[in-house]
Amino acid sequence: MYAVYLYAIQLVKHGLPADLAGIDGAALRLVQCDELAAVVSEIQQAPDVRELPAILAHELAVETLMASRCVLPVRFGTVLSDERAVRSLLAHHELAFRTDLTRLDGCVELGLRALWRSDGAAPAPAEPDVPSPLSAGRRYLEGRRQVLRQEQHLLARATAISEQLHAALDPLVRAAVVRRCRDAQTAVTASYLVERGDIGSFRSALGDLSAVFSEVQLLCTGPWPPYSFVSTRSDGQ
Amino acid sequence: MDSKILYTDGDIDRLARALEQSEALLPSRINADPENVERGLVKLVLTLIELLRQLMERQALHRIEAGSLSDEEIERLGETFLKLTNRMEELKVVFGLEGEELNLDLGPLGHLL
Repeated sequence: MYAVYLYAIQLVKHGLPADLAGIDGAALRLVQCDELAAVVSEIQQAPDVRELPAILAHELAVETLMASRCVLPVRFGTVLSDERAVRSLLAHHELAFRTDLTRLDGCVELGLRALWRSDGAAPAPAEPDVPSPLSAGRRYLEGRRQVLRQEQHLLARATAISEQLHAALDPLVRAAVVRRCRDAQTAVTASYLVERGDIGSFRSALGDLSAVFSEVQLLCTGPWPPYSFVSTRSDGQ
Repeated sequence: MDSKILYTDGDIDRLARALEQSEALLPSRINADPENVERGLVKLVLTLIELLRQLMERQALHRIEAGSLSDEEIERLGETFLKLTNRMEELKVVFGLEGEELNLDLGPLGHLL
């Protein structure tokens, strides 16, 4: 039995580019509800997040669309039972979708990671050893205390990094989602909503930042469809 | 698709390795197949127990640092938490769950644990 796979939501008036194929080479088509349309293809079963060809096909379709119109990208793996379910989704979220399409018009998402330099993720200064021998229970609690201390130390440094990013980048972006991490690899991950015309200034701001960051190195990817900035979370089945 | 690296000031191999690790962050959903629903439920229950365990452990550490517990109490707490941790590890093995699986993605709030 066939189900309907969703790629993106857009305005009907933009139509579809010719010869754009989706997952498994299936033809893309529009399912309409008033002025809104969902870009869909038929699929036999929901793809798994580990199926690389399917992920690439999804992303390629969304990015091709994004080049010529504003789209709301749908999360990979979203499948609805039939066209009626798609139309009802569009009708149900009509206002939110239309607002998002206006808000995101002309914008792309850029991803940023600040990774601790291999020599930068130095542990918190060690405390003098507690006199041993400790009993098993005490030794366990002491170990946990050290781990939590280390996490807090990393988090405090990640907070400082995210504040520097905020000060330098916020004037250049429409919106930002910044997450501080507590692991030894990554200090901060962030998604930025940037107008296409501002990508160049964003990139040069990163150049300025990397000159002052000694603890982290930066990796910026994109432009991506604005996955992190769509306000509606519509769950497939 | 074009290259998606817009800017980097680091060693590209190291960055790639860090990204590979992030693969584990892809959202996993509780599979609602009848055969898998039991495992999904166990995962959810163990996640909540793990949350409580970590909260209690932190609370205990705060109280130790504040000096409000006697040596004997600290000893008892330590042993209790140690046993809880070991028991949790056993349960994870029994149900075939990895440490990172016992977590929930709370969207904008980050991860539960």
